[in-house]
Amino acid sequence: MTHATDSGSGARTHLEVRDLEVSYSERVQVLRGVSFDVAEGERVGVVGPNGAGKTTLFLALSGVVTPAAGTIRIDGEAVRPGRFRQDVGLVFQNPDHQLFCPTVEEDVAFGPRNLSLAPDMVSARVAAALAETGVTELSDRAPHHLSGGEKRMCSIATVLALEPRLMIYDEPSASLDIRSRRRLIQFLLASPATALVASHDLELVLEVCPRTIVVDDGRIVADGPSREIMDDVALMERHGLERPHSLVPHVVPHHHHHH
Amino acid sequence: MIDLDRHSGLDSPVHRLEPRSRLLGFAALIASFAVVRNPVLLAPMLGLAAAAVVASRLPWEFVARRLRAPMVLVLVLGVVLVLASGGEVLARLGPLAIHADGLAQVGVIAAKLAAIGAVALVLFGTAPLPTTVVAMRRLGLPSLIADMIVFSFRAFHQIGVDLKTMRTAAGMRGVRWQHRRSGAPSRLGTLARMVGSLFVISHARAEQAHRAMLLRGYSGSAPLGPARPVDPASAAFVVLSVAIAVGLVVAEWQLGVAG
Amino acid sequence: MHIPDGILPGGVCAAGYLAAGAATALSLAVVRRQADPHQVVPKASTLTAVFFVASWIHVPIPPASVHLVLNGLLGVVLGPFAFLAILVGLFFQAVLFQHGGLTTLGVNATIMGVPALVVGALFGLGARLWVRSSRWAAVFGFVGGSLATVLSALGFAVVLVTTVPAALDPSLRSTGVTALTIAHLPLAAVEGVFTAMVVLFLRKVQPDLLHGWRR
Repeated sequence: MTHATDSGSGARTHLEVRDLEVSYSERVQVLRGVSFDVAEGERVGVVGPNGAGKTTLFLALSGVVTPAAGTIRIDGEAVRPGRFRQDVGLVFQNPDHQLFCPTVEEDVAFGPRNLSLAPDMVSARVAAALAETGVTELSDRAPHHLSGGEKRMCSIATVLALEPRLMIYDEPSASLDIRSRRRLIQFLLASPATALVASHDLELVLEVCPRTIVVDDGRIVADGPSREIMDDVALMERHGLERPHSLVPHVVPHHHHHH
Repeated sequence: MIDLDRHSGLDSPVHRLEPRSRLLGFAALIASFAVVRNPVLLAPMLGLAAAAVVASRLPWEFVARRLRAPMVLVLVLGVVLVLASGGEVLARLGPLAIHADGLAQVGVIAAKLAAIGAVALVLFGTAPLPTTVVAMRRLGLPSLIADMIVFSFRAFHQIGVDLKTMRTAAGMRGVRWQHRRSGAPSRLGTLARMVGSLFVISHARAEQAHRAMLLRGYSGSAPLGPARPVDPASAAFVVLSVAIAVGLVVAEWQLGVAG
Repeated sequence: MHIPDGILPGGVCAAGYLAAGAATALSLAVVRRQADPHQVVPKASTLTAVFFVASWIHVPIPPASVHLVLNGLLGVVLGPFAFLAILVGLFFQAVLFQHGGLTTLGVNATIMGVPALVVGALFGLGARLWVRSSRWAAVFGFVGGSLATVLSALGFAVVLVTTVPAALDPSLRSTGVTALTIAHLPLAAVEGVFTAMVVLFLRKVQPDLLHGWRR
């Protein structure tokens, strides 16, 4: 069931997860033994039905949630829950949870300032993050009144400013309009960071992530090249998913044209 | 939080009472407990409270757990009273004197708190809060206040989650919430901006919700609809409770006059 | 500053309910005079919920750590709705958390709600009479937050000292009131600062949320 991806270039393992189990109480076990590796610079899609455990997995990787069992290693070093890790960046599903300052610039500067960086270093980081996400002209605006797409890129900028090498995106394209979604995809393709992208937007995952992990009911049920996995109709439907439309063979015309 | 509603679906004589009757009867009892002061009446008062808990089939563990915090608070106050109230001295502990008056007062306070708290739990824990609010409205609570109770009740779970997530996200950008030694002013500033942001986003959400309600015909308070008829058991309960309440008040008055 | 059940004599509880009832009637009258009170109910309710959630924020004030009261902030944001919001908020705290009391709901609402109304009125007046610069916003915010706390602490102290230890020497009462009020001064300062910070924030981001600032 698990197809190990040949990372080809022999890139180093960035993230290593072994037998991860997370429970929220004695009876509710959310993750039941999850194991996978991610290489440096790799982009991996994480898909699965609601309640599969994706968000919990991300919180565990960020050190927010304490696992009941198993290990997580980033760059070989074990993740200890409760300790702030600047090398992992989690972009939350709802941008409102990461944007609370009166201006976008202050929000993006928030992280570097907490690192006690010198003011000119902070400005440099802010400028870089704003440029990478394409929101430099929004820097004096209040984030609360921005559009969904603008908020999304700003929230990504707030995380990027800490320069994490592992980025985790929880439903980044939710409620984005077409143009914002395209901008997000372009950003993800250009970003050199190692990335985990959870999304219901399977077309986005196909475009951005060469490899996909399918999570269902707290377990990894498939792990391999995205096209291969998403083309497996039986597998997709078994886990509450659907084959993306772009993979449906267009040999027989099946679009309805109204004459 | 909504733990209070956990046992509202049980079946017991109290659960089966008509809502207005339940409210009136227990409110009368609680009001009479507020008046009780004479030590002679403490036992009957506690007995009535215990009878209410038994009749409601609420678990004792539930009642005990919820009354623990206020009891601790009152005992702290009690220590002050015992040591400082003046009057007859029962014993000495080094430089400290234990006054009989203070001890008696603490006993009265603790008993009243336990009795009032237990009956309040029986009143509010045996039906979902919206049901009780409707009963209050039928008994004269202004509809504006009733609406505020219902809307706030619905909103604050989400807002609690929002604040918690914001704090988690900020923790992942370097805020050390638990740090005692320093950084308190900046943490306060961060919290102030989060509270401000919560105001802004909740307000936007409320306007949307209100618009949705208007589209579904809401033009003020939701119309009440026919009330459940008062069955004989509920009527008897009200009469009995009010009689007991009046009895307690009269007894307290008489004992006060005599003593 | 929540007075729990069991401590106050029945008469004081009743008086508290009467006072709260009067303040409620007054607030309702003022609110209903506005164009459509039911437009404002969703806003006031969510702000009540925010106040309720925010009041769980711990602030370390040595030697202990306390919850913020935020009645001043509520006055500044909700104006006349503040009393109703505090009433509802206290109701929830009593019923859902057994924090405060049900028989003392009237007393607590009066102690915390009336100062909120006073502060709200002052703030609204200030918005009309003064330039809405950030400096004045900060000053009014600080004064509003700290004043509400001081007034509430005073009310709290007076009620407790005059009704609780019946055996306490009357001459000690004023000392007791003073001592209890002074004990709340550090909290008042923190509330003042916090309120000022939130006011400055709202002034930048959405000033029409501040009472009296609607254009």
